[in-house]
Amino acid sequence: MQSLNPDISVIGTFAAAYFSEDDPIIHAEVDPENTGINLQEGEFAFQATIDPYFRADTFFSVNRNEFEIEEMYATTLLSLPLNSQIRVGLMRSKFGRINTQHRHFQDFVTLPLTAAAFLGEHLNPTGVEFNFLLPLPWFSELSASVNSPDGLETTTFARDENANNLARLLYIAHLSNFFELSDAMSLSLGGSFATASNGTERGNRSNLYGLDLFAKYRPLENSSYQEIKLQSEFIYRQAETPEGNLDDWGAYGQIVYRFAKRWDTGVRFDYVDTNDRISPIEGEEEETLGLFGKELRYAAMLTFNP
Amino acid sequence: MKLYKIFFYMVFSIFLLISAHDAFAKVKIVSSVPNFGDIAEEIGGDKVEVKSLSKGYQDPHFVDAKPSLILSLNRADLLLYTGLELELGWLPPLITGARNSKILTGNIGNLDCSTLIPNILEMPTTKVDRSMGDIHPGGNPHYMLDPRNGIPIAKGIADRLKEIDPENASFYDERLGDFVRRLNEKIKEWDEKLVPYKETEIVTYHKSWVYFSDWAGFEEVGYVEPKPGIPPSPSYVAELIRKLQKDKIRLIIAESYYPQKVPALIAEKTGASFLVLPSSVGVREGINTYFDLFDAIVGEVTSKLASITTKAGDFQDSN
Repeated sequence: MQSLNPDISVIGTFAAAYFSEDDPIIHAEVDPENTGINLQEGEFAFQATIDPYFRADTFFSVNRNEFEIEEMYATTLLSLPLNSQIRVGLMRSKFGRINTQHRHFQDFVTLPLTAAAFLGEHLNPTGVEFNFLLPLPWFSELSASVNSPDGLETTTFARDENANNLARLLYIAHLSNFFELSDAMSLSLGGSFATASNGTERGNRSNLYGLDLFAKYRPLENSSYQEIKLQSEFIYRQAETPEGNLDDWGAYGQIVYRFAKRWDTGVRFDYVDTNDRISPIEGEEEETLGLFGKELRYAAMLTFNP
Repeated sequence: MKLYKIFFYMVFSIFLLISAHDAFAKVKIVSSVPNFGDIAEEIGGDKVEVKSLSKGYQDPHFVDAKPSLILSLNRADLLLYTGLELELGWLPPLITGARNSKILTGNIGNLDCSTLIPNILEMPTTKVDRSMGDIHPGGNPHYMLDPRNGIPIAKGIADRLKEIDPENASFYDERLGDFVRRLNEKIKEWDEKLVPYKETEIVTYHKSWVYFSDWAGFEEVGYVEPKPGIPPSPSYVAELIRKLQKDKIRLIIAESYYPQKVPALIAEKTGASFLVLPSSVGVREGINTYFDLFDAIVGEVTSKLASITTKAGDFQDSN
C-alpha cells in the first residue's frame, strides 16, 4: 500500500455542444467549437512531497494535437519568517478566482469572457511568488509575484522588445480575505493587480485590476450536501498602445446551487465592455490588444458529478 | 495619482502591520474531528488549548477546506487526525497552506491516530480500486466508534504531549491514568447493557459502524449505500427492502449527516426501526465528551432494542 510515487491523476473534460449558427463566435480555445462532442482538455497531474521542505505539483494539459505545461511549481512547507510561503515555477497566478481554477473544476463549460479577453484564458507565467499570511483575526493572505511574461497566451502582457528592464517584467499582487460568517456561511473577498509591458511599443504597459467575490452557503447539519455558491469577478484594464490608451472592463457573476449530492445547477452573466476594435498593427497581428467590443452573455448549466 | 500607485501604498501599509507572533504558554492542539480533541482535553487539562477543524455533526469525509482553518493549523503545536485517508479530501491542502513545519508528516507535531490502533478492521487483502466505492486502502477509519480504542489513543496523545511539553510530563501521566481508569469502568458498564443484544442483526447507512458492531457483538447484514460513498439507486433500495423482510432485520442505523429519507422509507416498508445515532463528540447538545457519546449510543440502541423485543414478545403472545 505504501509507495513513494507521486499522486497521479488523469482527468478528461469533454463537452457536447449544439450551436444554432454555422459559424459560432468562440471566445476561448477551451470552449466547445462545433456542434458535436469535443475534447476540451485532458489533464495529467503529478503531485508529491519531495522532501521535508518542499512539495511539487505538475499539471499537463493536453489536447488532441497540443501539449501545454499548465503548472509546474514547488511550494515551501517550512515555517518561514513573516508566515510566508514561497512558490517557484510555472503557475496559474493568483489573480482573481477563476484563474486559479483548473478547467474541470470550473462550474461552467465556457470560460468567462473576462478570463478569455484579459487573461488569455489563464495567466500562468513563470515566476516566484511570495504568500504572506497576515496577522489578522481572519484569514488574509497577501501574494506578490515577479514573473516573466514570455510565452503567455494573453495579448495583455508581452515581453517588451529590445528591453531587459526589470520593471517590465510581470508583477502580480493579490490580497485574499476569507470570512467565516457562520458555520454554514462564508465569504471571500479579494483584490488583484498585475502590471507588465504589453509589447506593442517600447515602454508601453498594461495594468490589470481585479476584484473577486465568493460566497458559499452550506448548512452542515442534515442533508449536508446542499450548497449555494455565488462567484463574481470584475476586471479593469488600462493599456498603452500606439493608437492610444485603452480602458476596458468586464465582469461576470454566477450562482450555483447543489441540490443533491451529485447535482449542480446554475446561471451566469458575463459582460465585457472594451474600446472600439483596434485594427491590428501592420505585420504584427499577434500584438494587437483589440478585443471584440461590447458583449453580454447569459449561460445556464446543469452538472452531474458521477 | 495613478491607480496602481495607490495599490502599492496599500500593499506597503499592510506589510507594516505584520508583526511576530506573541509567545505562547499552552500547547496548541488542533484535531481534525472532535473525538480526538476531547480526549486531548482530558489528558492536557488546562495545559492545552484544543480546537477541532470539523464539527461533530459534520460528515468527516466532506469538510470544506476553508482557509480560516489554515489559521488554526498555522499556530498548532500538535495536529491529531484520523488517518487511513478519512480526511484525504480536505486536510492535506490545509497542512500545505499552514506553513508550519511542526505539523508535517514525520514530525513530532503530526499524530496520525490510526497508527495507535492495534486492530484496524477491513484492511483490504486484495488490490482495491474505485469500483468498490470510496474505499480506504489502509482499512476502515471509523475506529473511534469502539470505545476500547479510546485507550490507545489517549496513551498516544499523552506520549506526544510529554515530548512536546516535558515539564508537565507527570501532570499528563496522572490525567492519563485517571482517564483510562474511568473509561475502563464505563466500558464495563456499557458492555453489561449490551450483553442481552449480542448477535443482533443490523443494517447501517455507511460502513462506519463496523468497529461498534465488532465491540457490541452486532452482525451487520447490509448497508443503505450499495458501496461506500455511493448513494443508493431505487432498484438497490427495493432489493434491500426484500432482504430486510426476508431476514426479519429490526434495526437500521445512520449518522445524522446522512440523508434520512431512504433509511426511513426502508424502515417504514419493512417494519424495522430506524435510529439516528450520534457518531461524534459535539454531534448535538449534551454530547460533549467521549463518555457522553457512548452513554448516548449505548443508551439509545439498548432502549430501542428493548422496545423491539417487547413488541415482538407481545406479538407472539397474541398469537
